Amino acid sequence: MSKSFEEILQDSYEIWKKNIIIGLPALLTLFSIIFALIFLAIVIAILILFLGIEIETLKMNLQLGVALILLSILFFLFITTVNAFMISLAINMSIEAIENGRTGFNLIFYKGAKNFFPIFIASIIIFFLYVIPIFFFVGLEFILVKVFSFNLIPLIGAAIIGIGIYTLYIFCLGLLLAPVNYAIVIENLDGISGIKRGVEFFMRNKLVCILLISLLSGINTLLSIIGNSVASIFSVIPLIGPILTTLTYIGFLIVAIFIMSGISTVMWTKTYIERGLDKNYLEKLKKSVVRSS
Amino acid sequence: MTKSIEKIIVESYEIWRKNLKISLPFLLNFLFSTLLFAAIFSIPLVLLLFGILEPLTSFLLFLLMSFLYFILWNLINSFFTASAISMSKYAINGEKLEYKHIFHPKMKSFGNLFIFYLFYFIFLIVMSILLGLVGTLLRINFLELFLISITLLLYPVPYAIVLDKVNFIEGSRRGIEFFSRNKSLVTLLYFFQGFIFQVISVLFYAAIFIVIGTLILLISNVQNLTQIVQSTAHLASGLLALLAIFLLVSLIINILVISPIFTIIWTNFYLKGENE
Repeated sequence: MSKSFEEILQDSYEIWKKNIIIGLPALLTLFSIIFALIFLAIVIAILILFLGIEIETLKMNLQLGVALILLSILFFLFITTVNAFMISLAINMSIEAIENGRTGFNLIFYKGAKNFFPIFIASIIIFFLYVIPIFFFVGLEFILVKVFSFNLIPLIGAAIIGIGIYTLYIFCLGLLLAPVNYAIVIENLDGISGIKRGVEFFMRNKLVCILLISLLSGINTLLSIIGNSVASIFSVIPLIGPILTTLTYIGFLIVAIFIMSGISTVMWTKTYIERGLDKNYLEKLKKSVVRSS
Repeated sequence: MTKSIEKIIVESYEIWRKNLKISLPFLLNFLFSTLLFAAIFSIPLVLLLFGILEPLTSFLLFLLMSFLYFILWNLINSFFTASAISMSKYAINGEKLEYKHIFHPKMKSFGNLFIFYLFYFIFLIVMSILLGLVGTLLRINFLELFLISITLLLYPVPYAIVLDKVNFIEGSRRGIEFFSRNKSLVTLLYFFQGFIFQVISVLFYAAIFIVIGTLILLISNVQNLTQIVQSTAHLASGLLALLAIFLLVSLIINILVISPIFTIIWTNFYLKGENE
């Protein structure tokens, strides 16, 4: 029988302690996003200067509109690429740490590029899985507007129903798709098979996945509360207090991302390796419970 | 396989399914607490409404009644918590649960649990007020951190008091000791319980959104102002009724399903954790 959940957690923690560097890819992703946003803001400012926008009427010219759409697509592709590379790197580093006890930034491009493309494809598909229902609801709204001859009340009603259903949808989707990246890297799958295997893994190991998600989201909440409390101490200092508070909070946030991303990657990788290969773990557990009772 | 949290959860769920009577202490706790609330707070309200007492005297009476409610509610809560924990122990040991078990928690455990909860709640209230005041004056926010740490640290104490049949001081010591021996698992279960409540609240809010939207759609084919006013009134009363129904449903799920299962899980966990 494979390891118990506590043993997985314990092992993961020990592995992470010796390899805290696994948290670095997530930080690099964060910094890339920040730099990309700054770059985007500069490019937009230059475009507005050269192509022009009529402030009084807020009328954009066609060229500027097309440029903005292209920039948004490029920005999205850049973020998805960096994210896919870093996820592949972090999970491969975790696998190396689990197998050999140590990992590092050696062969960084090999580890990052190894499963980059399937993760990239899976990220695009997952993005559409999140976004398509919004288009569906907006389309439904337009149909309702036509049917009810431009009455605003049914539009509000349908929008509220849409928000309710969409909340449930993204909540379930978030849970179901949580193991996808690990399925892709650990089992060396393509994007679509990875999504299938990830969902299959979740369905077969519901309890352990929910326990893991609960633990990680709980630690996240705890860290943000600690960060808030520690940062608030500086608010008593006059004048520079608010600046110090903000800086401490940002510093804490960076440390929290570094810790949490590393530990969660190792925990998910270890759990997937232990349970993904033992396909009938829950059935065996239930049988052992029935036998003992 | 040593003690496994998964095994404890699956086992506890199976025990709950075979012993649904375990939900009764939670139901009775809720019913008696609600009745007590209605009985105690209706007195100052009636006296005020009929003009027998002046507003200031009513307010003082209200404060007195709040204190009385706190003590009596604590009695009810301690009794049924002790009852639920000892029933869980019977069920875990494979004994058949009967109705008499509800009213047979060990009186000593009940008394000790009552004293523990009394001190616990007073401590929480006083500290919350103090930290709230400090937070407002100095803008230092330590209240959340304090609440989460203290509730997590003392979570196993009621189980220690009832299951080990010890007084509240020894129970608190053993509960804290149990926490320090099983830090990661207590924290995991605590977060797991929080996550389950979060799932229920997501379902609750989604259901409210869906029903509000449907109601708005239903009234949207009105023609004139009178109809709009009437429809809005219907919508408002419908919404209030639905809100009450959803609250009741989530309360029932909490009372009959979630709380009993988690009490069995914690009892099972405490018993297994203590034996190893």
